[in-house]
Amino acid sequence: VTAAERIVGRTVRFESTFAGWRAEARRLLLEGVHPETVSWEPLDDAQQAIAGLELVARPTASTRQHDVEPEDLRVPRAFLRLASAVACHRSPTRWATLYRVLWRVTGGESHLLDVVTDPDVHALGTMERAVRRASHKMKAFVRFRATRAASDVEPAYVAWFEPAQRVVERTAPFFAERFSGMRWSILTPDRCVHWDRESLRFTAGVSRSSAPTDDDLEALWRTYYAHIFNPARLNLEAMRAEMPKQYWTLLPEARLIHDLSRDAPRRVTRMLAETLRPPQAVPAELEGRGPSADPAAFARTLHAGAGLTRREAEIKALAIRDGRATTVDRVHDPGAFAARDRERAITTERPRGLATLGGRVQIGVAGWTDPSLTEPGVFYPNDATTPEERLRYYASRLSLVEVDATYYALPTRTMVAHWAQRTPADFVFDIKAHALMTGHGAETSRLPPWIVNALPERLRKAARVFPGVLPAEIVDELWRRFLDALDPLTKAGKLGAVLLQFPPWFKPSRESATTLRDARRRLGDTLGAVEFRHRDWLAGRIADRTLALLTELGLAYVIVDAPQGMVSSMPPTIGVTSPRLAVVRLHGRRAETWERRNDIVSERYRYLYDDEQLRAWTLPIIDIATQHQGVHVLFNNNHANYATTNALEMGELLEEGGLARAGGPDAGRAE
Amino acid sequence: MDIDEKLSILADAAKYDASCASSGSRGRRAGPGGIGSTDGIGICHSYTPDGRCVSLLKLLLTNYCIYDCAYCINRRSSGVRRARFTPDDVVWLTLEFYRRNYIEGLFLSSGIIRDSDYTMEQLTAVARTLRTTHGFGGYIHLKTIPNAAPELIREAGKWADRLSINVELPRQADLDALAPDKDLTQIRRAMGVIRDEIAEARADSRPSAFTVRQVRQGAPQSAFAPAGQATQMIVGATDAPDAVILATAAALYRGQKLRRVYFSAFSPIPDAASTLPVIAPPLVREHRLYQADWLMRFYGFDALELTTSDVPNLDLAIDPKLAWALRNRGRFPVDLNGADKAELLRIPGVGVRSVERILTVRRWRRLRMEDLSRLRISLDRALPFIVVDDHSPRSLPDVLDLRSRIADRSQLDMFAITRSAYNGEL
Repeated sequence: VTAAERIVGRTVRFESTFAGWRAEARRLLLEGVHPETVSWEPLDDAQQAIAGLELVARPTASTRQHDVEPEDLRVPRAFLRLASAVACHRSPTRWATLYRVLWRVTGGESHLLDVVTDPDVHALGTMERAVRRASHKMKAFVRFRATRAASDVEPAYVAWFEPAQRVVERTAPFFAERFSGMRWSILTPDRCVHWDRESLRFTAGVSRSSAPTDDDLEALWRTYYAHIFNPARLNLEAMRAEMPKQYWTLLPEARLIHDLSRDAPRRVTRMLAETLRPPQAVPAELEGRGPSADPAAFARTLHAGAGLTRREAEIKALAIRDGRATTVDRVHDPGAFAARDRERAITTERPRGLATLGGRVQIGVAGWTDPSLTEPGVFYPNDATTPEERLRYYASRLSLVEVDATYYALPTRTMVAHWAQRTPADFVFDIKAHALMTGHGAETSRLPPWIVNALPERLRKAARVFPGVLPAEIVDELWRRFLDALDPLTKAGKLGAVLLQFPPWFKPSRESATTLRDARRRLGDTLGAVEFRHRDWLAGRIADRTLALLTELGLAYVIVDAPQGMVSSMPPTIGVTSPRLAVVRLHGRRAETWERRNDIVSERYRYLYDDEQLRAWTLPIIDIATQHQGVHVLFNNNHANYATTNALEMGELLEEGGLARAGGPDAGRAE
Repeated sequence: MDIDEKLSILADAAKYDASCASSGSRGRRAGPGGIGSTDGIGICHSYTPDGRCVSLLKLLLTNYCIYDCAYCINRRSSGVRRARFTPDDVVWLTLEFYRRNYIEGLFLSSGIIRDSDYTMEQLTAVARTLRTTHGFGGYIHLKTIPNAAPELIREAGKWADRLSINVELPRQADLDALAPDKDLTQIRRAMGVIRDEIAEARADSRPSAFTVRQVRQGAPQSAFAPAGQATQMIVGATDAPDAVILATAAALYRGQKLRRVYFSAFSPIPDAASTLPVIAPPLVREHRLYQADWLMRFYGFDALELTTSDVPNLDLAIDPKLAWALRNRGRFPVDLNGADKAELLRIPGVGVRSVERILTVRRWRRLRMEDLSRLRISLDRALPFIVVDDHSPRSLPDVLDLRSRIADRSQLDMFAITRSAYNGEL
């Protein structure tokens, strides 16, 4: 640099943007013009307008433009990033400092930007941070106000802002990304930016009077601001450091600062001095005592969002609802599919035989293949898909099952042998007698030929036949073959009782007594259990005679829990008529469908016992168990997993009760 | 009750949760026609006169609660006024506030009503509606109810950027005293569910961002809680010393992979239970804990180094880094031109970013006194502990002298303490 040059100097007039400076700087650098000889004089907006320079959009001075540099002018990318930020600073010295650093970086000090202790680099760093901060504060403190012209369907949002540095163009893309679905403008004294849902447009700066002055939402926003403030933590310094006063006029909430700060100490003092107010009661519906949540909607949620199958979701939804409803409201119908705690039912290890009661109590359900039970996600694990796998799984959870299929069709030895093979040694089957063995009608099509052939000609095509029309020897043969088929179970020691469930029209009479005596004779050594379905059997003094007769015959009386109030309702009388076995059969208590014949069966049994109802049975059961050889508890509320759930719950309750009775856990373990 | 009244009651109820952070999520922008974005860096849209940031719309869905935690203004035995938003109320407020750029998103919590699952489902419904019905791409932080069904927690994580479960107090004994309905084991188990889901989502390298368009079509954001998991501990409501609080925090960072542990100075509340101390909130202590927390996370300090068995609480008068340096004078002075990064990080008054600057500059120049202020080093704290070419401390400072000299100033300068608690430079 010659002395002359230094004295004469050189004045550069340029558009006051990064691009404008960059073009000049590149030219000067290529000419080798020393920084000390340059005087940077940017044009202001008015001059630029006169010079014919348009205000064009230059969002964020995108670094993409700088990828291609002339071969002879390699500038570190970091410098361009730094420079594009510093260009937005309001300091008039920024252009000269930038050129000086550029000169040095390209003149041998390529690492210069690393040396943050260098005064020039430090100055640029300070400016860059100020620009970043101004941009950040713009993102934070812009407040849109909704405005709506008569023709607008949706409002446009307009903000007035006064950025600390010239960061409108740099920051506009942020707003375009964030509020892409809105029409908005940000007006500032420097530049205005507009978004029409597609592109950004920049216009000249305006004055504040161009901006809207209010928005309905601001009152609500101030409510929030006032109430999220904690007067006990007043710290004005910290607030001012992050939200400098220069911004307060732009913020609708700032007008509250004065009063909130002034009143804070007083509010705290008053709060601490206040006496306790009486608690406000939690409304019943929020306690869970009121109408339940909508389980269908909840189930949809779980299905869509939580990766459960539709059925699992329904079960879960209902279980959640019923966990409360069943204990508080005594609502016993949890709905279509559920039981109250499927997860618990599946994961809890439950004793299969009740050890605390000497293994004498066994619990099960009527049928392990009910279609509503084998639905996926109800009771069986998903991988239990064959009858064998289901039976094995069932037998791993419960130690007793009632077979009802034998009521409809005679069992075969092969089938029964499979049952014996697929269950553990302590597992027991109660077998329901064939319909014809208890005076019910049977479907003709499901009878074997040797019975059909014995029918009178005119009845062979009938849908149903009743045992009264069969010759006595055929009925005897039926009993013989039935019991013979059960032989594999008998041999394996897994046959409990043959369940003789008599029809509702089977009332106390001499004839009925004979039927019972015949049954006893035909059973031979096999244990029989008798379930009546007419209340007269236990009416008044007849009850004693009923029980005496069964005791005499060695038949077990089936204690019944069922809906009350109908002719077919059996009162829950505890009668033990066989030293070998007592049977408790629980049908659910769904009175409204109990006697309706044309409903689907699983509707009739759609009833889940609650804890209290189950608990009421534990004492009698424990009593019987301590005096007799065995108690079978059978749940016949066969709807989805209601029966299995209640069975498992009963196991838990009896275990508890048995322990209590036996004098504590140690006594129980001593068994 | 109109929305203004509900808002006042349920914002009042929410203000004791310290966190308002909207950071840590991955970049996400509004799709065509939508609104809302996150870029990983939180934005504070306002500050209240308590100096706290207003970033998220922080609300309780309801302040009815069937629990009775003594420290909590919303406990069932409190006489505080009660209100309940519908999920739609919250959705509407969030969107309207967001459109005006008042907030970064929503931080929703709730008192427990009916049961944990029901409450959790209500919270999740708000997030899901915002994402799916309104294509909302802003930040969502959901408070998680610890004993809610894991399925519900999993679903919440699909819609929220961050989940948090408040551990509230560091030990079960503290909970037993003040929050008898809370069970630390259960809280940890629920945190574990979230931790594992986050880890799994990362391991599967599920798509790193979701566009609003996808959300509109009903596909949930596939990554799980991309901004991670946080928690809060209340400080000063029980006698738990800082050593216990820091050890608990360290265990949570390590075991549960939490992003942040927030400390909330116990603040007197209206209708306070008689078991609670009536004190001004221990703000200085809260800040010291935050400073200690930074030291553990970014400066290589172990929780055990920050307190001693004799003095299990942090020094309120000076910051924990200076306190540690004074206890370990044998390790100083440190030569800024020669020390390694770990040593530099332990110098009082030299923050993480200053250490990075020192390491960069050192490659080209040796450091001198005049450079120090340009490195943004706090000279009054650092000088007694460092050596540069034209400076070395004459002798190590008399402990009491230095402590009182710096303590006096910091005590007056609550603001400085607050700042370092926020920006982590100390």
